[in-house]
Amino acid sequence: MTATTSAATHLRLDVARVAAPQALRVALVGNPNAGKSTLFNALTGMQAHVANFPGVTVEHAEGAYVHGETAVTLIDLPGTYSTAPQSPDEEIALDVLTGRHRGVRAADVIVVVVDATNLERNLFFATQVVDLGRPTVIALNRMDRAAAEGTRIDVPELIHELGVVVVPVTATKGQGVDRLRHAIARATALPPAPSRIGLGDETNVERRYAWISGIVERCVARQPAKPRTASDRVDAWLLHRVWGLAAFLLVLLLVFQAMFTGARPLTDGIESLVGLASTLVTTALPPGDLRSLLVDGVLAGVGSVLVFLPQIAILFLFIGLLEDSGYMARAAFVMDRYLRPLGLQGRSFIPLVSGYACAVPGIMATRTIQQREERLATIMVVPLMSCSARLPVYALLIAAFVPAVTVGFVGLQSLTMLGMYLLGTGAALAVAALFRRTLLRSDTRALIIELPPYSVPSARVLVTSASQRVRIFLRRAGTVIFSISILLWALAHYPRPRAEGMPVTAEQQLSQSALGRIGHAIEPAVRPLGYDWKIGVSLVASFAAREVFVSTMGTIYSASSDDGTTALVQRLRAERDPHTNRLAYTPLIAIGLMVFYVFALMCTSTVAITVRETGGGWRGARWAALQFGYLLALAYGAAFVVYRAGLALGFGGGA
Amino acid sequence: MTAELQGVVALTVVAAAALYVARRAWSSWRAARIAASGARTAGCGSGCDCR
Repeated sequence: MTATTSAATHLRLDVARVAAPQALRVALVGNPNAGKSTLFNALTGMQAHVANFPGVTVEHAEGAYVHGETAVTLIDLPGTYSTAPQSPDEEIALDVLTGRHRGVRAADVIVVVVDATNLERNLFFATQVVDLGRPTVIALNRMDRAAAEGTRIDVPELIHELGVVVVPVTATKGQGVDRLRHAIARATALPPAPSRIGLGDETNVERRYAWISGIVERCVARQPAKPRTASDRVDAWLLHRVWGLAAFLLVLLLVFQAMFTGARPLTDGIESLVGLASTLVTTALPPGDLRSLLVDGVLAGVGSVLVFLPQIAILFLFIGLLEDSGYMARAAFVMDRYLRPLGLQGRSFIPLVSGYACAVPGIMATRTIQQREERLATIMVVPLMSCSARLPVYALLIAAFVPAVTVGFVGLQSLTMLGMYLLGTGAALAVAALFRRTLLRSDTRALIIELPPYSVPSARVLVTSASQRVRIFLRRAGTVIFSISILLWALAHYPRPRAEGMPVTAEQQLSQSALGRIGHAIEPAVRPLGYDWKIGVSLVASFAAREVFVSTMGTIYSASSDDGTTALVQRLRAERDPHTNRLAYTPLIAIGLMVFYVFALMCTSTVAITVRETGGGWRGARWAALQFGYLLALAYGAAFVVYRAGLALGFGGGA
Repeated sequence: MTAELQGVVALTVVAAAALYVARRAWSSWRAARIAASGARTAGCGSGCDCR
């Protein structure tokens, strides 16, 4: 569920820089979850992903618009509670604001986004920014929600109190956005507001709170609180110590069930299309290397990965739904209780859940964790959360070896998939606890997290976010996996065995090819896990990217088959050991292999981001090496134990 | 298309794929070097293929 934060988080980071260098630079700041990203989109007309929990904006994104004759470059910064940074992402926000961020010019105008439903707390940071003495505009966001709650804010009085322009807006509906653009364009022409309370020591903090209380008293009129809202009633269940956890597990189960049942027709459709393309190529071209390259290399390799596209789309639709509905922050709150004894806190939960999409944004999202040891422990275990690249591997092995029967109302295949995700999550928590008791010992800080009101997610935003992920997946399939499939085909076809009058079977050809020889060299290392050389080669190839395991198996089985049409799943089920003539793959081997993939860190991007986020240089490289090493050892050890224990218990199964 | 011609075309495609993979590997390596130097760049790092 990523992602939390997701995956979409880092998609957002490469927003184009479109404005001219002389454009007015405007920084958008505010408390986490004040609606900055939504307002950023409303001002610039961009489609960025919006998630309503803290820690979404881990770097700054830029956009641009033109108002009248003013070109504006707008910078969306991570949420911040005060001008004294507590975490790496707050530090980035303040560095950009004050022009200390390398290569970024200081903002000409600062727009502080203030949540009208939470005025008192938001004004703490807003008044600190006003005291910087820079041209400042306050965007009073969520005015509709404040009105619905019976809160009336006297905006002219607020302007008088703060000495800066205050514009009421409702970013989600685009209300007040034009007036805000106008105020931004004029902000540099206005004199700076006088500094009421200096920034700095504890006394100032108390004086500031006292001043803000006075402002709120004079500017805000509230109706008496309503007894219990529907949101409160739902929260009583979803935040309950037992029911909250049960609800979370149920949500996960529903997601996996939807991935299997909902995706099936589309998966079957893609499989048929790939089969049709193979038939077309076979009909159009006479036998030869090019035909074999297209059918056995490209279509078998890329096609075997493409069939998992619908499941990935469904996973990301659900992730978006959970984030944007406000559930994810509640899940973090519920999990805080269970994470605390392990030395983590609820804030670690969001990076961990982000890891379900991709470890890279998950590791970046750890910047919201203030304490170094807690952050490092989280970084070290994020790759244990099963990312979407593992999905094709799980899905292939489950489809091939787990019977499609139901247990109660849930499919056994969905339960197996859930089991893999829970195994990764459980291991992440256990390893984090180990790190926190050994290398990374420190006190655990209390969690302060804002629970956003529940909201109905926008279908457009959900579809946009999921389609971005689909595009990423397609791009990978069309570039990396495509190229690797071609190379694997070449390795599986050359050198050709000497014919000497006898016809060479596809199996002999593969066995004597470069790929076959590499595989046989690797085999002793993977034999203890029950794997043959074909799995060994696929494992090694998938260190480039996990999905390559599936495409490699697709290429190998296409190359070893004299009839090129059978689906990979059927070929795996029917494969026999040439020496013993027993089934080469059993459910036990498949489970062991999935367990290997749950633990192994086979992703160069994750290694690179770990180096960077753990301090860079040799220090970062050491953490990354430790992460890679312990995960590989864990993967091998766990797969070995599963296989050997299964054999001892009589689950060998190969007939 | 004759078998010989198919062989030539297939080898050309394989060579192009090899060049592409080598280029990707080189840019990933460079990105890792930049990361190791401690530089803080925006986003998840140039050359990163997580997308």
